[in-house]
Amino acid sequence: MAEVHIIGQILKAVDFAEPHLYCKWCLQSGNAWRLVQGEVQGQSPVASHRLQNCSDFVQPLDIHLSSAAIQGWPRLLVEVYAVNVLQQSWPVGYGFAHIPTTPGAHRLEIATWKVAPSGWWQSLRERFGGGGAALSKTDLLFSGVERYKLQTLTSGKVIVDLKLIFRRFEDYGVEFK
Amino acid sequence: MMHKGKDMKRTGVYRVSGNIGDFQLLLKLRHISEWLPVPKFEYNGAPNTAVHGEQYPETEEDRWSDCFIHVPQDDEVYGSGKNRIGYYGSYYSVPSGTGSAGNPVTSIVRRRKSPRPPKAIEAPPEEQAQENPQEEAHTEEEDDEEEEEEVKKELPAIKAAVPQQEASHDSQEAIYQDPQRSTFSETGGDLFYERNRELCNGAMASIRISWQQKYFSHTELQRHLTDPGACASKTQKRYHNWAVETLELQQLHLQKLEAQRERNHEKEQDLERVRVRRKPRKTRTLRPRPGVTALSTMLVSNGLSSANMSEVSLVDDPLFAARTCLIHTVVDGDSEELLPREAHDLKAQGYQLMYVYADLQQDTLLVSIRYDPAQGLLYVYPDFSSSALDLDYVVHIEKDNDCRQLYAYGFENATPLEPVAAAEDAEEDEEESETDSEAEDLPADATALELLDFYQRQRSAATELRSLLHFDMPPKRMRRICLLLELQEAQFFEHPNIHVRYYVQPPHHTLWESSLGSAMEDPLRGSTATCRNAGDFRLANLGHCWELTLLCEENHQPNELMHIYFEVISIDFWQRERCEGYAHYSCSLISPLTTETVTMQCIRPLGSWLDSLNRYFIGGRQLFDFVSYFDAQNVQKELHNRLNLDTGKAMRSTGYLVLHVRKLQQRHIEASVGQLQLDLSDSTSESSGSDEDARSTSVADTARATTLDEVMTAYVEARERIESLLVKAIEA
Repeated sequence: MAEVHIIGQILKAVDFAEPHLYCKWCLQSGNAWRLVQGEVQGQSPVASHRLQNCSDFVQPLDIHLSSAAIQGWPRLLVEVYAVNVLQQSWPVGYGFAHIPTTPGAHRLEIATWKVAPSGWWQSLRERFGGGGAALSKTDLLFSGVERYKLQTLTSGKVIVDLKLIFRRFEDYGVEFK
Repeated sequence: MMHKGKDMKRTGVYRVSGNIGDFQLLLKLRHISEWLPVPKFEYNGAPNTAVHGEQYPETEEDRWSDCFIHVPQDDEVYGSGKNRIGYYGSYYSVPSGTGSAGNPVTSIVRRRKSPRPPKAIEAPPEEQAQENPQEEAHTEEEDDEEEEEEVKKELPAIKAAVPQQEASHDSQEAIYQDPQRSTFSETGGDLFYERNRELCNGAMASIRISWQQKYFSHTELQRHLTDPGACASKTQKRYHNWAVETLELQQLHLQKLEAQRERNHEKEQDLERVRVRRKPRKTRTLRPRPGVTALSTMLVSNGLSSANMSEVSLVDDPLFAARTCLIHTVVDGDSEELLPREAHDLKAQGYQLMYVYADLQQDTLLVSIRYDPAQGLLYVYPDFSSSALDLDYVVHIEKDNDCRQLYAYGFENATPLEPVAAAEDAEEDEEESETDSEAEDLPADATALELLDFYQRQRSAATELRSLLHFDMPPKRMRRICLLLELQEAQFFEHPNIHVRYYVQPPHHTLWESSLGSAMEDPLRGSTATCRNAGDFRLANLGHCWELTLLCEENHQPNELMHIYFEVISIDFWQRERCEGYAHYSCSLISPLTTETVTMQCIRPLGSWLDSLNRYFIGGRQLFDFVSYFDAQNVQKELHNRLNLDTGKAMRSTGYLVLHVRKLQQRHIEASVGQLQLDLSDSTSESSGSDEDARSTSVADTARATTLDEVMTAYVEARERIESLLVKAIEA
């Protein structure tokens, strides 16, 4: 079994319209992958910045995976939520990115999007009352069947710093190039 | 009856919710009847009743003694469901000591070797003893003979077809000494009878078959009995061991039969002495009582009352089908020659196959099962019976000599079911379950087949536990390429509300490998979501990731490129589609990538002013062959001729796309046993510099050994193929 160590942090979210944000994240992988140590999902505290249009999450990641195949390479799914003064929260950004396939330090910029409101009433409600459409199932993030029918709006980006350690992949003839 | 059986054949489709390795099948097969060559209705003369014909009217059997045919003509006699066994059971009479292979119904047909006065039958024995005390001794002798006849009537009812004059005392004694002798027609073949005595005697063959479990036919058994040598593959060695075990089972059974014969012979000799000594007391001890079965009567009459039932039962091994190679299976691991014709196409479609055959004088396909691992569906033809005892399906075997045999079989799904709660508990108490499984022991008096099943179960369980330790390797002489693609963003197109459609064209001689865990239906084509109000001067975050796994040959040329074509489309609020641009990305599968992030400039045809008006007002997508346009090796060079003033072939640049590409390659490295042990030891110990050195040397050794292994494997495969061809030629 080959092993992957994912060490790093979800640094911040930038270019979001909403000031108070928090982030849910999870690491997804194929059936041949097993978690050895660490947490594969989590949630950051609500963060905001007084001067810049960004929210610093600084959410640490320390995951140890073992793998029996290179298929189903892990990918990081992030969901950014906004919080208003009424303590209501709604999703403002979905995004995911594959974990890089080369060891070492990487900075990922995960471009996120959110579900567009389906009508003017929902637009007004989202603008003034808070709240917005959310995906009922996260499978919709990955399904590719007539995906263009899903209307999205561009959101900000989530910056992730990762340091990757790969072990014993070379024993099974895996080359990272 | 036959047509009814045929109509019930249909394919059953089942969804497998657990591990397909747990699937088990219980199959039962038995011989029903035979059609002997039809008599030509030649009158053979009057029956041989010259001696007693005037005094005794001919019996029912005498009248039909020359008719060998017993053909059920009505469906009613079969009934339905489990009632069918009533008919089958009454047709053959097998002692109840046969376990599951026996019949619950035993019929005793009385037939007398020599005629006797009717009054001797009608009169009660006690009265007869009182009335004729002088004839008591003679009556006792006849009683003995009667009881012996009862025993012989346990043989199939076809026995009644044997002409009476052949049933002399000597021949009956011979039958008596060989309790497994059958009256099965010799036209079926002596060899077949010798191999399948139990089946021919009316016993029901019962066998439990696990998924991809191999049972040998006679040909395979002979072939795998020879030592394959040191260069054999693992499958060959395993088959050889199983073949040797099967042969040992057969020899053990023969020894047991021989011992039983000797014991019977000794008892016969003792019986002669006992008969003389105990003669005065026989009348009371041997008086037939109601409720006494034929078998027990035989025991008493033979003085074998203290003998074990299994030693004298006609069929002492209910699981004889595997030992006699009556039923054999063809599984995925077998060579292509053994599989049916359609199996090649099915295997190419990804099905796992299994066929169950019976050697009923010719190989007869009983069940064909295929499993689709992608969808988790199991196709069973014919469908399962509600109970294997129903014997829903029939098989005709017709030889050239007009002798037809009729067999019936049924099978059911015998997968052991586990309740969900128990499975959850098992996960929680994993260690306990392991200790329990280790503690599971066989009883001391387990038969050899039970021992085989037990150790086979243990082997399969251990294989399942170890399966996660094996890294998934690409097929031999293949290379696996895993591409992680991500369309990140797009900008500077003419209209907003864009989405991107992509088409992947892998190079020739590559295979797309589907992964079960992936939710993508077809990674070779797809589209992103629509980014509303973005894509023009505003940045559109597409955020679309997909994974693509390809298999290519080891000697794949780097100049064979993989092409990905992108088409950016905008949809306005009137649902008018417009093409915003085309982009193209190509890369070599086996060469290293120079960069991970690619910014692709998009272009679209300039078109005439009419096209511009059409695009602005009506919209629509122009039929533009962008695949040919981006093909640099296209023979139509005028598309790339920049000196051409034809505006119809001119292009204009639009926006850009940002694509992330990551790539993994995997070559085939044969994981040798030594390397596996090294890996296991590494997992338990801390990694150190010496470990790294040892691993690098082991990898080099493995790479060198791979070539030798491949040569040996090719040699073994060729030899197997030649052997199978030779066997076919000999059989032909």
